Amino acid sequence: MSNSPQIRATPFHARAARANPFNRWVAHNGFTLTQDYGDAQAEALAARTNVVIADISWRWRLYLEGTNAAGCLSRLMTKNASSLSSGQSLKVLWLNDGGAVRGAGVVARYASDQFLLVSAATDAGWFAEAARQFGVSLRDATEEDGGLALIGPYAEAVLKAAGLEADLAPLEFHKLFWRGLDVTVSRWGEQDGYEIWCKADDCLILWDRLMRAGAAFGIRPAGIAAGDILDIETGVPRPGRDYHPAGDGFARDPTPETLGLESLIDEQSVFNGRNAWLAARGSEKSTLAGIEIDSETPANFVPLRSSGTVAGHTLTSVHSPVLRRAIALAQVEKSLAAVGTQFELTLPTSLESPIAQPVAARVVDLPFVKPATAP
Amino acid sequence: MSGPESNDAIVIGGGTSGLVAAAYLAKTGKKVLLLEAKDKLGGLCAPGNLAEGFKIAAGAQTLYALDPVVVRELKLPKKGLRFASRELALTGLRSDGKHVVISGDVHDTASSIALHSQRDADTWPRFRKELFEMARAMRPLWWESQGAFPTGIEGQKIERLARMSSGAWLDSWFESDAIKATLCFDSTAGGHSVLEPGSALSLVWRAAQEMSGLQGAVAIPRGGLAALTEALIAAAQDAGCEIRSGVEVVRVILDGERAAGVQMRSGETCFAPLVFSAIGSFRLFSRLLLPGTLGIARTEASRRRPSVAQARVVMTLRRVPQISSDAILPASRFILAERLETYVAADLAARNGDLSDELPMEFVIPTTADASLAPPGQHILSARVRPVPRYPAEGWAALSTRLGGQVVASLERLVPGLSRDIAHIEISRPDLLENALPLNVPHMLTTAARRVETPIAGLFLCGADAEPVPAVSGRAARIAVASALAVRR
Repeated sequence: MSNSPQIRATPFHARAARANPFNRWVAHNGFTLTQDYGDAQAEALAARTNVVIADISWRWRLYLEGTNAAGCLSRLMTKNASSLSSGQSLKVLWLNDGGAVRGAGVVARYASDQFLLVSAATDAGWFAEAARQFGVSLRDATEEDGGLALIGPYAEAVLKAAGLEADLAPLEFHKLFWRGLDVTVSRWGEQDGYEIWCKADDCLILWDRLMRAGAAFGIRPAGIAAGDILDIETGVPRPGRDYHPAGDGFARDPTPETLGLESLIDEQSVFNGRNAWLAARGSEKSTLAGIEIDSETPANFVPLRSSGTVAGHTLTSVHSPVLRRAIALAQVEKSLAAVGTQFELTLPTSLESPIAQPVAARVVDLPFVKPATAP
Repeated sequence: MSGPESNDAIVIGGGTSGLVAAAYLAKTGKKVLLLEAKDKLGGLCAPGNLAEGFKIAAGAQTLYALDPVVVRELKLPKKGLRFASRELALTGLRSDGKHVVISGDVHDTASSIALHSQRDADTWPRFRKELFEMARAMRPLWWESQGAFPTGIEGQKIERLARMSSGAWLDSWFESDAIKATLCFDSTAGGHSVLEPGSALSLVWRAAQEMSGLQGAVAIPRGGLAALTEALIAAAQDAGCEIRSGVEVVRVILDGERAAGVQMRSGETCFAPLVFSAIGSFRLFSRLLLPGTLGIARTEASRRRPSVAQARVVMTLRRVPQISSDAILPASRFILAERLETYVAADLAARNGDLSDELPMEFVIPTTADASLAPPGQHILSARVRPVPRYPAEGWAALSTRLGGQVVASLERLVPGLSRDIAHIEISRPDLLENALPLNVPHMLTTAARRVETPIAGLFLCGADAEPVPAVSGRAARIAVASALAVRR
């Protein structure tokens, strides 16, 4: 029986199952996760107005350890990880030899010879090869512990109410002993929230404590669908959803420039793929843009027309409950990426609207929505 | 970083390629230092240690890819390079005694093939013409630093061969095992399977070579292959190159993203704005440079090795081998492989860590071309056996005994009484023999300039790794020096 396919649950699965009224699940990075806890729109809105918790145990977490770990990461990553002091982190990309994006994530320094990489997608083969070349040891901690993201203007208040005193600036993290639990509190996410990580066995206690502490703030769990809405609102393209990371060691696509991720590169740092990235820089025809659609219906992966010709396409599109309209990340020609540029697109048809309708759309500034701060 | 000790260029590795690079650099007036880790220069063509009075090179058996431009520009004939045999015929030894002799003479070859198949004999001139035409079309790409891939019909043919195995390609031309199995051996250099896609292209690469003015020829220098090393040392030293052997380089010193010099095992450092590496690229990437310097994926690719290897068996003979048939020329290279399937079976067995019952091999008796290589009346037989296991199940020591026995037994069938005449036999470990690399078709189809450059400014590859197919050639070294000097200018 052990060979039969099984659900790969996160340590929060028991609580998630109880809170998932319509039994809606989705496969995400190999884990079975709640798609929505009844209403993705309401969950995403709550993350902007109140506070939500979201299971983020599916994120790939890899420890790199050894005297060469700092050297290895500073060579791999687009920012110099060896300049970090313990307790600090960096948002980075890693590129292949051809200058294409293999992944994006956060590198956190735990000690002089211990780092943690947190990423939305796994890239185990690449890091195994790099670790071999640098003599660094790897430990995949994805299954060892679980994590919850606490997002919303009342996130800090919920932490305080739960008795977790974490005075953290964005990208900082602390290890804490919290009423019997060893936890790490971090601020690595895109939503200006907090993440709390603990051993898999302690996860249900963590969920319960946060839900109890957050009750007064209207806390609710948010599923993967709500997470996608928040991501798009913040203008973050995700591997597997908005682009395919370079799997080959020498591929030239996707470039950081196409994905609008060049802000994650420190040009002065010496990193893998730097020469190829510099050589290809500026030659890209398209770039990432945020598109606001004059409709409430999202339009995933549809062509964008400018004066009759196709000049790009949308990537993932969602209805934003805050903006009360459909928005999309898009890949558009560079010359048409300026804010205000008008496009036309055809909405996908559905049971409700079986006739294809052209609607207007325009380029707006990213992010669409800035995470709200506590009132 | 200039000072009294500084050089214009440093060459790491004193094999054929390193010596060619050093000689070219010195010829342009550069102050060059060549460093070789071993005591003897020459690499595969260094003088080997066989019995007293016998001369044989450490690794290489024949010359088939030496760059004629290098020979001419370095004036190697003036430095003493002469050929004992300018063109060795290719002889397929058959168990039925109907040996196939493939030489530069199309008509003689056709009549030899006709013993097996009249159809193949009629095909031979067309095949040879086609092969040589394609080979010539590829010469700009393989011989010149900025050469282009052929356009038109030749280019389309090459693209087809780049996806084709040598076995399938020869099958499409010929029907008799004798000709197919004899021609196939050259496509298995480095241990590649005759079923491997792209191995057909390595036959074209062989045909694109030129030895002493003859296309696709295989030659033996007078005095053995070590004579090439001596000529190259003379060329380098006469041009003013400083050569130090027994000095191991442990690190390439970088100044940011530029090569700045090298550090030796003793701790001594030496500076130069140009560094040429004639050693294996994996060793360079992973030991002499900080890890990751040349790219994670590229370093990984440089580590890959074919899963099978080749072995070399050298024996000294008390008298000339009397091969049974009169039709055979004494100075030839002989192929022992009955059918294409012989290669396939040997490849499968080798991948399994074992030896096949029949081992494909090429052997030469260099002393029939140049008697000075052995004491009077005595001879050398040098055989190259492939594929053999890279990772033998029983360990190399046990396997080599079995390998030697099998080689002698196969030869005995063709040369009755041979085993009684063997005075000494030596079997070399395949992985120490040469820089065997997996068949790399993209590498074969890229420009020479791309093959020699590295992401580090001033650091160039000039060894066998930078050739389309690893071989004793010197061509990559010539191109690396030209590229480096063009960049500096």
